[in-house]
Amino acid sequence: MNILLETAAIILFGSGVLFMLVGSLGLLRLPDFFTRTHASGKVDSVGMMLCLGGLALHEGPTLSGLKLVLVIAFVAVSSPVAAHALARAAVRSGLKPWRAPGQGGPDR
Amino acid sequence: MESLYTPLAAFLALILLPPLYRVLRGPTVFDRLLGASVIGNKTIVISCLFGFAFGRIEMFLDIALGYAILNFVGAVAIEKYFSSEEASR
Amino acid sequence: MRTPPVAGPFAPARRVPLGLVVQGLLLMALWLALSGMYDAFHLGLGALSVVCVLWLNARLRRARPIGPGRTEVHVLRFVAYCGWLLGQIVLSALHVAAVVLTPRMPVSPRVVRFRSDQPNDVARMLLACSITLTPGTLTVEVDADEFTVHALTGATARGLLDGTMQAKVARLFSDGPGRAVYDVRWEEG
Repeated sequence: MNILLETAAIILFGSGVLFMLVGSLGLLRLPDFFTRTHASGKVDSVGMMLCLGGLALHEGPTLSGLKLVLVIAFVAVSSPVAAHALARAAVRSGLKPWRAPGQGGPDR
Repeated sequence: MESLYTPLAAFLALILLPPLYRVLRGPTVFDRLLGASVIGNKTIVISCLFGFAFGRIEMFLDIALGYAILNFVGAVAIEKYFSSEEASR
Repeated sequence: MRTPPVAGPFAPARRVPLGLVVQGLLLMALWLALSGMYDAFHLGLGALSVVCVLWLNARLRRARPIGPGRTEVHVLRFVAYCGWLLGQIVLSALHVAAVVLTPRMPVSPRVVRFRSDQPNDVARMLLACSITLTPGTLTVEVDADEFTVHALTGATARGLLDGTMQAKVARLFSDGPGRAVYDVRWEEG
């Protein structure tokens, strides 16, 4: 049982780290601010929630485990709000979304 | 899991580099802010890992929680400022 | 003692004490979980903080009132919705990860506007957050019923426009939801 929990924790944490790696790569590779927000801000926060979930499983039902769950809940609520606020600020300041070439949009 | 703390923290620190590049080079100020918030996210996980590695999880968790809240409040405050600023690029 | 339906702008005088008590208890539970010290001094500090937060909340509510419509949520449906949303988030995180890792990177970002009938402001907020939390779609602007969404690929946009999420959010608050998605406009150039 204990080994089972530990394995689950490691799998959760590992997949979380992979998602964070993809988030970082996306931040590097994607063409403009809005697409980067997709890949990094959110794939990244999913990865982070998985990581913290793995740590919470590892910690077990203690006060620290509960705090880890609270951190996950806070991130789940705050990350979309922050991403939305950032995107809205970008649109309001006149940033135009990038369009793939050949879609009728302006190339950049 | 115990032996994995340090290598995982090192790997997470390594993948802080792409967002750091975005912060330094990002063509717009919003790219920089995005990079900063991604760095903040990863720092939270790293700080939790440090807590486990040093056996002081309760202290480092409080730090992580405070960091998460500051990260969010700071991001929203700066965005509020730049959405009213005309020449923000 | 049930919360009466609130009609019109949320007036401070009609605020229900029961909701306030529940809010205070939840905040106190949060304090207990976070502080981990249970002597009289720290409990007193916690009670003081709870009162301060409740006061700040009440002030905020007067300054930015919630619009009309019943805001009580069906708890069971909400729990079910959270589970469903979690599944969606994981699925579309995998989708975005696949897009980023493909060497060609087949992104074709689109901006789409649509309208959705939602029972109240809380539902709109919940829908906007859900859209943003699902990787591949990002709420850019919410104006009354109109949502402006930036989608990473055409597939994620079409997934959003089938209206499942909108109908689910509306059903959290009312039994007779209106049109989930209508008036769809793709932004050109």
